[in-house]
Amino acid sequence: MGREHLGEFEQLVLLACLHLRDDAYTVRVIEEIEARTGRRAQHSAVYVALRRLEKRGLVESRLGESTPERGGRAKRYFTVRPQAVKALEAARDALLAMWRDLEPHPDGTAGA
Amino acid sequence: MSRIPRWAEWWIERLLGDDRAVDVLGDLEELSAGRTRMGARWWVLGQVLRLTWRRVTRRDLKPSSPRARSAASLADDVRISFRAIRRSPGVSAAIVMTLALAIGATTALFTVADAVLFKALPFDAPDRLVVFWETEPPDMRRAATSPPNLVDFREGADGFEAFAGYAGERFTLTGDGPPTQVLGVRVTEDFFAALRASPLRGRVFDAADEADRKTVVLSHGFWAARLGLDPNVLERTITLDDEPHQVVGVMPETFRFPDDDEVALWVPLAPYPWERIRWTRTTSVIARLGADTSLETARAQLSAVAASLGERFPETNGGWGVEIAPVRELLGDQRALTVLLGTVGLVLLIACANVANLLLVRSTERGQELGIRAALGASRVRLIRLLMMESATLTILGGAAGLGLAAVGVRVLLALEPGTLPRWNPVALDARALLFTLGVAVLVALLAGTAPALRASRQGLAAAGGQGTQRAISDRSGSRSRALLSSFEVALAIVLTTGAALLVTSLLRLRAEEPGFEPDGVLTATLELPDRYEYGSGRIEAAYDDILLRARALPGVTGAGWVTALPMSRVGTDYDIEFFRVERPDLTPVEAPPRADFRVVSEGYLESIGVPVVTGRALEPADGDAGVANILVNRTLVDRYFPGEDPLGQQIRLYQTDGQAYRVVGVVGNVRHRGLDDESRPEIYVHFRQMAHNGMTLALRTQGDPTEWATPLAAVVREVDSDLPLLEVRAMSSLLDETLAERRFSTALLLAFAGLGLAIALIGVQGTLSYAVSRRTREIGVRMALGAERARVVRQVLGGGARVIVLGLVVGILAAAALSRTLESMLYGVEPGDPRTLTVVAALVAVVALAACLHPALRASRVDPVEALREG
Repeated sequence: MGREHLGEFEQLVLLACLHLRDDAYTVRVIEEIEARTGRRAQHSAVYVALRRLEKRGLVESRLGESTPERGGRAKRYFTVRPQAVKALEAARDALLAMWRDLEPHPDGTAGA
Repeated sequence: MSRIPRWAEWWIERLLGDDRAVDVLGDLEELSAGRTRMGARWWVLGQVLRLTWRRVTRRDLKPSSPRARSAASLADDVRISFRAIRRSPGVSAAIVMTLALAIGATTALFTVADAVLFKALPFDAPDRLVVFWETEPPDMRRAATSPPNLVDFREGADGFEAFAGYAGERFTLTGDGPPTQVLGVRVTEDFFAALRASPLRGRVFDAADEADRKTVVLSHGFWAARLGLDPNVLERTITLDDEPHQVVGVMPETFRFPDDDEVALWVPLAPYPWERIRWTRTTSVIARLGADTSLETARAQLSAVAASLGERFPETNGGWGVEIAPVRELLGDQRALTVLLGTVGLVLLIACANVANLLLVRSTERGQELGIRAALGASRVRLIRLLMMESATLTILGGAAGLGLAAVGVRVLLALEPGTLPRWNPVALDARALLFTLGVAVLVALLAGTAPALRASRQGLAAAGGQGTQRAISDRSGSRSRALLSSFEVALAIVLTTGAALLVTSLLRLRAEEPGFEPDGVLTATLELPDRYEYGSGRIEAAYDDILLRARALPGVTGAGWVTALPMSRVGTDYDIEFFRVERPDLTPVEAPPRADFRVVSEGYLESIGVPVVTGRALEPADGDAGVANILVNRTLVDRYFPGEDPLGQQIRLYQTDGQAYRVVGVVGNVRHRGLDDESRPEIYVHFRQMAHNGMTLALRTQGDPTEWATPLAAVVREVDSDLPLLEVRAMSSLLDETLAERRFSTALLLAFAGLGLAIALIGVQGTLSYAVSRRTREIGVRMALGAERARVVRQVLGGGARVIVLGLVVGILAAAALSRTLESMLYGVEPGDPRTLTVVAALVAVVALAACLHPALRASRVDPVEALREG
C-alpha cells in the first residue's frame, strides 16, 4: 500500500473516530471535533472526508440501528483500520520532528 | 414527523444512491433537532447545496448505481460550465447579480401575491363561503344587516348550510392589571360552523350560549399573551364590560376571522335592544352555501326574502335589495398588488434581455474555443447543450442568490407594509415560492440562453470550417442583435418609469389637496363607556362633558371637543342619512331625498381641529340644552340643497319618522372626511347633548408636540372614572399620513422597481457600447492615424448609442401610453398616457442613457493609434 498521506482535516476526523470507538458516526464525529478543537465542522465536509477515507481503505463502515431522533433512519458507523493508525502516527512523528528545536515564543507562537 | 423536506430526500437519494442516502438523511434529521421548522428547512437546504457542490466538484464520490450515474454526467456538464464561468469572472458576476436582483424582486412579490391573490383562503371548502349584504336604495350601496333581518333571511333561504352574523365590538377588560380595551367579535351560534373551524381547546358556541352574553371563546393570541397559555383556561372567567364571561373554548393559532390581528375573542351575538330594530344594520354576514346550491340560486332565494320583507316592513325594508359574493370579496381591491407583480415581471424581462446580451458577448469571445470543440468532433447539438448548460448554471446561481434576496425582501415588505395587506394566508417563502423561482430561472435560461447558444454554435462550426467571412457576417448580425436587445431594454425601462412617474404625480397632487382641517398640534383619543353608563340616564353626556371641561383646563391646551368619528379615521361611527326640509316637504319626493353625513359633536370640536365658520356661528354649550335644536351644516350641503337661499334659519328633520325639527345656525367649511381623494359630502353637525352617543373621540388642540399631552389626558380620564381606558391616543397628523400610507407604499415600491429596471437597462446599453468600442479598437486606431479628430470619434460612438436609445424611446413611449391604462384606477389628478409625464420621462431616460454612453465614447477617443495598430 505504500505511504498514505493524510490531510489535516482527515487527521481530525480519524482521531475523532478513534476517540469515539464504537460510537463513531458522522454526527458524533462533528461533535467530537468541535468539543476538542472548537472548530465547527460542516456535515458535508465530514461526510465527504469519511467517504474518501473509506474508498482508500482507511476506514470501514457498517449500517447500524435507527433511532427516533433520526426519523427512524439508520446510522453508519465507521471503524478505523490499522493502516490509518499507522498513517496517523507517521503524520504525528513528521510534525513533531519538524517542531523539535523550535523554542516556544513568549506569546505562545513558535520562534527560532 | 420528519424534518427533512421530501424534495431534499428525493435529491439526496439521487445524488448519493439509495444505499448511501439513508444514513446522511438520518444525520441531517439528527443535526436539525432544536431548530424551528422553518429554520430546519433553510438549514437542510444549505446542507444539501453543500453536499451537491462537493459531489459536483469531487470526482471521487462518483456513485455506482446507474440512476446515480445519469446525475453524474449532468454534473460533468455543470463542471465544464463552472470552468467557463470562472474564466470570465466579470461578465459572470454581472449576469448573476442582474439575475439575483430581478429574480429576488420577482420572488418576493410573488410570495406576497401568492398569499393574497392565488392561494385558496385557509378555510375548509372556501369556494362555498359567501359574504352577504343588504343593499340600500336608491343607489343600492352595500350595507350590513340587522339581527331580525338576519333571522328572516336565514329562515327564508334554505340553500345555505349556515348563515352567520358577526359584529365587532370593543370591550373593556378588567381584572388583572389596569383596564384595557380588547377587540371582540359578537357572533351567532353557527358562525364557527359556517367557517368549519374547530376549537383547539373546549368548544364553540351552541344555541344555549346565544341567549345571553356570558361565555367567550378566546383567540390563541389572547390565550398566550394574557393568560400565559394557562392549561386550565377552560375553568377561568374573564371580565368584559364589568360582566364575567366563562371561557368555553380557545381557537387555534391559524384561525382568524375577521382578518384583523387585533381580534382577541368571540362572544355570542345576543342582540342589544336597539339591534332588535330592523334598521340597525350593523351585523355582517358570512354564510356557507349548501352543497347543491349555486350562487345564483342563493341570490334568488335571498332576493325573494328581501322583497317579502319590503312588503311587510316598508319603513325599514322597502326597496332594499341583497347582494352575495364569494368570501374573497372581503380581501378588497388588490389592484396595486397586481400592478406591482406586472412591474417586477417587466424588470425580469429587462434583466433577461441584459443577460442575453452579455451571453452574446461572451459567446462571440469564445468563438475560437467552440471552433476547436467542433473541429474535435462535437456536434452542434452538443455545443448547444454545453452553452445552454452554462446559461442554466448562471441562472441557477442567480436564482439561488435571488432567493436569498427574496427572503430578505419579503421581510422588508411586511415590515414596511402599512397594515392593509390581508393576512389570512401567512406570507412566507415556502415550497411554492421555491418552485416559482425555479420556474422563473428555467424560463430566464431559455429566454436569455437560446439565441446566444444557437448563434455561438453556428459560429463555432463556421470557425471550425475556417470560414472567416461567415464569421465576420455572424459578428455583424450579432452586434445588430445586441443593439436591438438594448433598445428593448430602454423601451421597457420607459414603461416602468412612466408608471412610477404617474403614481408619484398622483401622490403629490393628492398631498396638495386641502383636507379642510389643521391636524398639526392636535391630540386625539377615543373613549367608549361601559354599559353601566346607560343610554337615557344622562350619565353618558355627563361623563363626556366632565372630561371635556377638565381637559380644557390642562395647561397648554387651547381647545377641545368630542366627535363621533374623526375625518379619515377607521375608528368611530359615520352616519349617512336622509334628511328632510321642514318648510318645503314638497321638495323631498322629487327624485331621491337629500342625503348627508351626520356627526354628533360637542361645542369646541370644529374649532379645535381648525374648521372655519363660514357664516352664522359655531355651536355653544347652550345648544345642548333641552328644547334647543340647533345644528351646523357645511358648504357643500348649502351649495347642493339650498342654492341661492340663505341657509341660516332653515329647518330640517334628520329622519322622516323623527318629529324633531333642527334649525341651521351656522355654516362651516368642508372637510374631506373619507380621504383626500374623496369629494367632500354634505354634512350636518348636531350637539352631543341633543343626541347621546357612546363611543366618541376627543380632539385636543395643544401648544407644542401633542403627544406630550397623552399622559395628562389619561390622568384626567382616571379622575372621572378609574376604569376607563383611552383608545387610539395619537397625534391627528398621523391620520393624514395613514390615509396616504397604502398609496405611498405601492408608489415607493413601483419607484424602486422602475429604478432597478432603469439601472439594469443602462448597464445593458453601456455594456453593449463598451463591447462595440473594444471590438473596434483597431478600426478606431486606423481612423485616428489617418487624422480623425477625437471629437469626431466621440460623436460617432455616441451616435451609435443614440440610435439604440431613440429606437427604445419610440417603442417605449408607445408601449407606455398603452400600458399606463392599467394604472387608471390608481391615479389621481393625472391621466394615463399624460403627454407631459411621457415627455419628461422620455427626456429623462434619454439624458441618463446618453450619459451612460459617454464613458465608452470617451474611452474610444483615448485610443492610442500606435498601440491599437500594434495589437491588431
